[in-house]
Amino acid sequence: MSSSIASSSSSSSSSSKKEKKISLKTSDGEVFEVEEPVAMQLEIVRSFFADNEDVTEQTVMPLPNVSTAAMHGILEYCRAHEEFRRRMPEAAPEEEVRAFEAGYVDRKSNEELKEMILAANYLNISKLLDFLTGVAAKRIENKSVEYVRAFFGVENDFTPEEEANLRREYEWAFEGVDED
Amino acid sequence: MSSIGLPDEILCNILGRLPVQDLIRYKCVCKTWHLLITNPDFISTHLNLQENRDGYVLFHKCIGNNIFSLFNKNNYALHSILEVPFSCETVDFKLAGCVNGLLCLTDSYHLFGRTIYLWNPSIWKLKVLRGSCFARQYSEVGNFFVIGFGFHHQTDDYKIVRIMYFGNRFRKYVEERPPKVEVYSLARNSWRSIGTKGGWYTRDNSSTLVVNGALHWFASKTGDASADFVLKFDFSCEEFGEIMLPNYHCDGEFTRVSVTVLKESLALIVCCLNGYESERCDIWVMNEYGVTDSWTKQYSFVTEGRCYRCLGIVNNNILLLDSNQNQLLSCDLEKLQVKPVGDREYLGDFVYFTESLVLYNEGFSVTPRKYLLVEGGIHLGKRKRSVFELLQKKWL
Repeated sequence: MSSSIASSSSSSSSSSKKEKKISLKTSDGEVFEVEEPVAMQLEIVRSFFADNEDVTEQTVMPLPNVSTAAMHGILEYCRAHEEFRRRMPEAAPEEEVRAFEAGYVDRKSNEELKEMILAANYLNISKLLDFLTGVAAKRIENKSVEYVRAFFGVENDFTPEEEANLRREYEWAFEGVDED
Repeated sequence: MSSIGLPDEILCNILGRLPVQDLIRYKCVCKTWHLLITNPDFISTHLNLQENRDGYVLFHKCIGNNIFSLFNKNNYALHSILEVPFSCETVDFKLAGCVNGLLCLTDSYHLFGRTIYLWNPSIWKLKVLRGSCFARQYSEVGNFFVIGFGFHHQTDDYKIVRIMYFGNRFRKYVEERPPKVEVYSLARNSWRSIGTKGGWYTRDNSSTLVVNGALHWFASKTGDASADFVLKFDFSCEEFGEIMLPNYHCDGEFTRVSVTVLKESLALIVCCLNGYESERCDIWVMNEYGVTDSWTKQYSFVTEGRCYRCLGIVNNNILLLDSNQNQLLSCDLEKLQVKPVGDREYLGDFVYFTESLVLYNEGFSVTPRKYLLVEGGIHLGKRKRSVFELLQKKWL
């Protein structure tokens, strides 16, 4: 189901219906033509167009902090939500949204997830950021310290003695942890 | 593997959603995380983000044991059992309240309110409060204490209000000698005496009803103007105030009224009783805080003798009832549906509970595997392994 939404939205860019498009250029130079209501979910884009009077439809807005890969992911999410909104403007179909979101993140690696969190933060899409940070939290829940270090790419700067002391002091917190 | 570092703000946003046990463990990740996780700002962020997680209803089986049962607040499935790992001066504890995962316990019976134990079971931290501004009267046998416990958002502080009655908290005694009041602030870590003109006595032994930055008790006036009202204590100015009740009419033989909080508004549960069974239950809500005319009867339902006591409101929409058939009933206020949710053995005091890191930087650790004897005779007992494992079980 989720894939059908994704394909229908990507094909809509070539559909004949005349829709206002906004051009967004990612860090690696690719230009995305995005339907206006979808692009407006990106707060940074919305305020750029609201605050600058001299921008036209031809203006290509550069997004130097967003990679093409992240942009694909972001647009997939925003398009799906726009679709939900269009179909049911009153109340989003919760079950369907949840099913879409679950399928959507399942396909993302940890690195992709982090890249998208950074992009969502930069583009200021609070709903997506909220969702993705929740997903990241779920992925590190009940894991070992080593797993979490690898997940975030954090260097351990404790001496072995310091770490051993901490582990001894809070021994109870190290019980029942999932296998990595 | 290449890896992307995330800014602190986002890191807090992710870590703030984790259970407390995970966070304590992840303090070992690196020095930066160690500082971040125990930072008071992060502790607040974590509290706010925990609203995304399921909360619990914590019950205290009243007499003869110090065991709490945690139930999932949505389906009342038993989540875990929590045994208090220290003992008090009386046989059992009294649960005076719970705010942000911090339990406020005290001794029971004649020692109620004298010693206060602030315990955060999620991080096994305990702080024992023994002092008083009124050192001499504090230890007098026969004095009676009433306490209130709440969190003051504006100052990010936990406060305890303690009212000391001379003799007892009934009209006769209060008219003879007005009570004395003191307030403890966790941030200041001290008690401060509060002036009061008196003229009232509280009807509840304890309260955690915070609305609009003030604590509330159901109370009565002394003297000629004998009337019930809601006594409030404003955390900001540390002064008492009064809130008038609505004119609730009830056709039962007698009425049992209690103050509560419903969706951040002050509310009143009015039970009309005939004999030991309640006939009807009304819930009044003060829609505009402090405005007497704004009291509205929001819910009313006939209990048809199924219950004899209203325990209170959980989850903002469920009224818990004590049935006359050994059952705990829940009544959905919107649908007015009553259904049994558990055995009577869980009846007793209950509070809403969430995990938190509150008190992390204070108090002392109640280590699970050591037997400690602390000054003042508080025994920190050995925690049962099985109980411990239950508590630490992975969250649903």
